Amino acid sequence: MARYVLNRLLSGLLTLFLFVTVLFFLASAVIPGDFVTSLGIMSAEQSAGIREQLGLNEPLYLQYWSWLTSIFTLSLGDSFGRGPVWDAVRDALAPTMVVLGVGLLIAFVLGGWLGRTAGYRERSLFAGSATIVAIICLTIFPPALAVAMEQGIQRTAGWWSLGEIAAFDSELWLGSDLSPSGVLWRMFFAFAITALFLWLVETLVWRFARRRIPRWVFLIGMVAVPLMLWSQMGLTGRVLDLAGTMSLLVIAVVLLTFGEVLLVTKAAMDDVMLEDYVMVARAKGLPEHQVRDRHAARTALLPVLSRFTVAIPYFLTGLVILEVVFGASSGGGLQTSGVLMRFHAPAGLGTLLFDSLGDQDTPLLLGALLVVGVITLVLRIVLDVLHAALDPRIRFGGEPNGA
Amino acid sequence: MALETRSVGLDNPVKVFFSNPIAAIGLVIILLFALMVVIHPLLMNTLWAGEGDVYDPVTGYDAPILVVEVVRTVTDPATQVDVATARVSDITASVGDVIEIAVQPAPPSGTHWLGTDVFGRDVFSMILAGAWPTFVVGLSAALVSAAVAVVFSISSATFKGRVDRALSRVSDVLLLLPAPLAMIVLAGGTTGEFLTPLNFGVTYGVLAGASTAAIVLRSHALATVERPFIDAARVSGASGWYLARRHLLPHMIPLAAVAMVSSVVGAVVAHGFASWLAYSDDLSNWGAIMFVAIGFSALQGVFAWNVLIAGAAAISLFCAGFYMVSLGLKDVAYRGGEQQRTTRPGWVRRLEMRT
Repeated sequence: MARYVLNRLLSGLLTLFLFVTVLFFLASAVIPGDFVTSLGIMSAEQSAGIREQLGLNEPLYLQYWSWLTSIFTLSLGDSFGRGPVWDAVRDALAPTMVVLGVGLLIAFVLGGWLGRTAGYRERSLFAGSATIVAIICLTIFPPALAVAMEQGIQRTAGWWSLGEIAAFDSELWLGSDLSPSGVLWRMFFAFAITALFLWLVETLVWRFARRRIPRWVFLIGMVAVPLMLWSQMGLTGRVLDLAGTMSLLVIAVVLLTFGEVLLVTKAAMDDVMLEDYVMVARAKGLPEHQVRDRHAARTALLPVLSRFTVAIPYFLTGLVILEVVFGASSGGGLQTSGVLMRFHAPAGLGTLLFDSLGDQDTPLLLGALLVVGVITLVLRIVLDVLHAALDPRIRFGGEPNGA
Repeated sequence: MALETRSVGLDNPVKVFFSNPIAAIGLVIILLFALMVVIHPLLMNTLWAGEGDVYDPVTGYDAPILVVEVVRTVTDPATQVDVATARVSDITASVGDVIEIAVQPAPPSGTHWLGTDVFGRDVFSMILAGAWPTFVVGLSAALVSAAVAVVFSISSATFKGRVDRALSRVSDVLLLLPAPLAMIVLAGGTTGEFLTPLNFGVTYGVLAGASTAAIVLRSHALATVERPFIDAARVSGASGWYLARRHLLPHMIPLAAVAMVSSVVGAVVAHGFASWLAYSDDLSNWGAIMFVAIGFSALQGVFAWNVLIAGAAAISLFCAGFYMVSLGLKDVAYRGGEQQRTTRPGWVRRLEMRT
């Protein structure tokens, strides 16, 4: 198992290197003009001076080399307009990770449960309507969904009006040096510490007492301990504020992705229910819910996971589209127009990507695309390892097929 | 040997496809969109020809005239209008005047089934006109992605070793650059002229075909090439090219069709979104009409619901149609395929079933 994980990581690094190279040359080949042309009209000497200063005059291979070194030092170079790329990317990464993580988790649990039930009762009213709802959610045009949600909430403006949940509570943020992404990174930190702590406790208890801690203790621990840590760090108010501003985005992500999970789980369940071992389980006289949850659903999880490895880039794209349409901003600038009231979740990767595209800020654009690629790669490796852990054929030393 | 099958006609791909009602509905939806492509020029030349260019999807103009009184606070929207709105159409209007205002966007009516947009253009005609560019984007993406993926996967399965490793590395790398996102960035980065619907579709097809579709097809091709009938053909002296063409290709087609359909959905959504952001020069596609509706409604203070709902429904239904068809094709690929281990003619297989 450890060997498999190591292999996977090394191959991932090679893929990443090739990806970086392809990205750089594609971006230089495709994007016409450069940052200087987007600055507006100026004299030839002026623009030549700025090009010289930004290093745009150097030959392509030198630019490539400097980008590679900047990746190895993790600074990702300097953007043309807004400081080091890494700082901009770090600020954008936190909200995207939260929205994608929470959204996909909810979608996975909800869609998995619905799909399991629907696949188990294949020809029923429930299965039919679940399929239709899933197809509608899956194929709905993401920007239209975002606008409809915005408008819907604005029209039914009661206690949950867009103005209230959307904008940051300025009193909370103005007087402090903590930015939204700073708070989010501290939240991650608390989570990671908790997970590490619980894992340590579990290992020690197993090592010395030979006992397993029940699962509900872990669940409560994973919720309660971070909450305690957050209030200790004085983050509670800000965390609640952020949760409010990001909830719309999370709901939209869930709506867009749970349909896919439902349909794939249902199809996998359909296939598994015809297998011989399900019949054997029934013939043994096991209760139906055990047949469904233990024998059928566990095997049905495998194709769902392999489908996910291919679908994750698309989920990410959907999130980027949503973010642009919702007009997430980094706070501050009010973009309220007469009709479309903008809401102000902290700006994520989508906003960063489109802002850098608009400014022709190539280093920033490359940085944003690189992070999208890294997220995809990491999730893919995690899913592969999970797949290996779940599949007994791979767990006991076989070769994973495909992927 | 009698093969017992759970439902009738498992060896007939068409029957397998239509045994799934969702797939059949999807096919009907796609046919309706194809019908839209056909009837738009017909309507423009016959029924709508006598109306001047009222129904032209790009330059048409028709707005119902409403005679209203300018007041300070509106109590009856049908006969009254407030000063700010009145001054959009008549800058000299003041309280107490009776003025004529052109209603645009107008709600659905008998002459304009889906109403008109902020420029007074007929939305129904624009939706009909947008069907063709969407088909071009979707179908070119589908064909190119399937071709690329089939070439990738069959080369992997036939040559294995170094070729397989190189090709799957290419797929792995391209997977990190999601095709819809890459196309949106490309549309925003290049000037509008390059991204005609055809170019958009072809580029999307190459990106999606070499990444997602190739990964899915490769594992299927590798599994197929291990099956006994390939060994049998090889022992009887078939060349690699013959094996690929006559034995591997027929087994790749159902899955390639599934991959084609998902390329259609991805390409159409990406193209719609690029147009929604005004990254395309083409003004008659569904994304672009929504962009115009939303962009200008912010100026006029009226939200063009009819355009937004019509455009979004058109894109979503188009994608849903193809997605539903892909569910049926999956049935054909995975269940019907089990019965088609060989490429023997149908009458031989029927004989086998009987004995």
